[in-house]
Amino acid sequence: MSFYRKYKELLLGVGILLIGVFYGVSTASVQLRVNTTISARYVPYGLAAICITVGACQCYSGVRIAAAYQHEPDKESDNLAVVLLLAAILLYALVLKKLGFLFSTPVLLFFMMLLMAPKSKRSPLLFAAISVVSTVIVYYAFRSGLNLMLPGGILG
Amino acid sequence: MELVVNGFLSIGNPLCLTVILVGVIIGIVFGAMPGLSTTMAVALFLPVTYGLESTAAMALLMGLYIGAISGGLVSAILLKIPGTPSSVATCWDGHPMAANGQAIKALGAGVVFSFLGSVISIVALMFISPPLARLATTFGFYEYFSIALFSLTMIASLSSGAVKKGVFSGVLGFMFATVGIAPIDATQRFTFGQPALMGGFQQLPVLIGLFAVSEMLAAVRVAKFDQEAQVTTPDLTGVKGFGFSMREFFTQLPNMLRSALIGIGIGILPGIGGGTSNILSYTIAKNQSKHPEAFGTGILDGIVASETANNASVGGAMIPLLTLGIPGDTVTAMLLGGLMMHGLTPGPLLFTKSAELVYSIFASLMVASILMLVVEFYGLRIFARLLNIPKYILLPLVFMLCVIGAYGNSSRIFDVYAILIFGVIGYLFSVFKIPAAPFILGFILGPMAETNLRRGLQLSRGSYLPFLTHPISCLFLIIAFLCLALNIYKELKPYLKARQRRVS
Repeated sequence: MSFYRKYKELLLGVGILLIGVFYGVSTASVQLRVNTTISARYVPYGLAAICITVGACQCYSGVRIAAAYQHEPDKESDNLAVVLLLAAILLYALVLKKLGFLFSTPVLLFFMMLLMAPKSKRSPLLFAAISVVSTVIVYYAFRSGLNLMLPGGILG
Repeated sequence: MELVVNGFLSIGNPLCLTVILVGVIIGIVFGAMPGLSTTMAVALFLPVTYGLESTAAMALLMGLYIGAISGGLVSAILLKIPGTPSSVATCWDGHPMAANGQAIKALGAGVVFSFLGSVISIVALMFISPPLARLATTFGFYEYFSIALFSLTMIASLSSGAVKKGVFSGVLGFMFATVGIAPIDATQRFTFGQPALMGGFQQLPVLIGLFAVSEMLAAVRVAKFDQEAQVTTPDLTGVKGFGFSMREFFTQLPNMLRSALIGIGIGILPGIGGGTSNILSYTIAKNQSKHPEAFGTGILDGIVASETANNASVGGAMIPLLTLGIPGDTVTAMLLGGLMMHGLTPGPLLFTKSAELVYSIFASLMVASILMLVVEFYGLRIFARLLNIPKYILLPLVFMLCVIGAYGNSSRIFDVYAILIFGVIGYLFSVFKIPAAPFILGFILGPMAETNLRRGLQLSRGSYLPFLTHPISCLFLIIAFLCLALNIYKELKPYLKARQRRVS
């Protein structure tokens, strides 16, 4: 953790450089419809150049900051919970169309509430009730009331 | 003057007043809910206007427009999640004020100055729309590019103290905006063979991801260690009226007037709307302030600048719509559809052939603004009590609305994935302390800058000279250069002083 905090700014600089290089290489592979100087690659090349320049400057700053780094105590953070939340949202996006809004959303909401609530405030029954009731109300309000199409899934 | 009076008289019946009130309330609800936007509110209720006669139909749509633009401040202030793109800058000072127990003051200031911004722009719309529209038609490719570049240089002001990170953020936003079909020649860029990427990324998932999802990720990161109910209880004791004093009101008047002019100016230019005007106005207010370091800590100036400008853009956007038939943004594009549905063709002849309807639209806007003020005044304390709901219940419910908004926009599951992508980006931004505002600016203004640069260069056969020889374009480029130079100097000043001290 201490290594990460010491070299955080340098890591950011390297990341920015890599993004710039990747973007520049991707720009070179854009298939042009019309071969002109002011083409679809013109502005992206400019952006890539700016990104690489900023990345180089950030790397320089990162090296200076690492050299002057003084150890600080780590702040408490639950990175596992962050990963779980992201995984839950990804899974939700994958099943939303198949299962439908009405079935997948209460499950996601319930899981989110459990994850975000402190241990002493967790109330599965309450969370389940809020998740189901709010989803049903919102679904019918938008689908039937306002004709906004939401994924029906197994309901068709 | 007679037309103005007739306009008010034509909507002075129970039906019109009722639909305006209903429109304002529904608009505020849509605007306040992250994920549900002004565009969605107007789009969903457009079919409802089929059965109404023209005056009432326009009255409903104006109510929705005014309500939704203003409603965005509620979630921006209370949840740090902008309800609409027009309220992005409101988050930066509104939420810190709410976190300090001054939610009512923040909301009250937002509501009052939203109202004043609307009124000023509606007056401009009523009395000087034709000359303003003529001014807008003098803006060509060179001028639009210069305005976009000037707005992009505001990135430096928005990220003072971390200019490298701000520039990266802006460039990254611009990069994401280039995904999809390129302007002018329709070349496919950065789609990597994926059909879903051909449509590019939409604005709404970007906002939802950057603000709502990243806020949730930040909350979950510390939930285990935070034994409190994650509630910020607003201090409602002794709060009267809109929560701020007359002295504070008068102090904000110069800020308000400047922001209103910015909002109207940005609004009349088709293609740029409230999403840009609120950020631009905030940045200019910060640059002009004697205490720019106070911006972002929770001061009224930031809220006033943002909310005045975004509501002033409403009247501004209506000017090219009604006078030239050119919609200023996506909402006015919907309104154009509404007008044509009722057999009206916006343009110069609208003022002569359907003058009464035009002035009834102005009157509807004015009445909607007044009703918005009243409804939000009585809703202030109810909105503030939303803060009593624990974050671990409120944020997941907000996320559900965000999914509805993102999916409902274009019925693409890809937009739900996009929320996740931008959520991760927003979270990484918070970890590495990269400002998110420049990303939004780059994403919104990038396409406009690129399109107009390329068109301008095509017209001038590759020469950059016309960007300098066109007076308005040259003016904006000079201002952009001066702003950038000033910001670079402010960044370098501490290093230069330290170097001078070492030498001496």
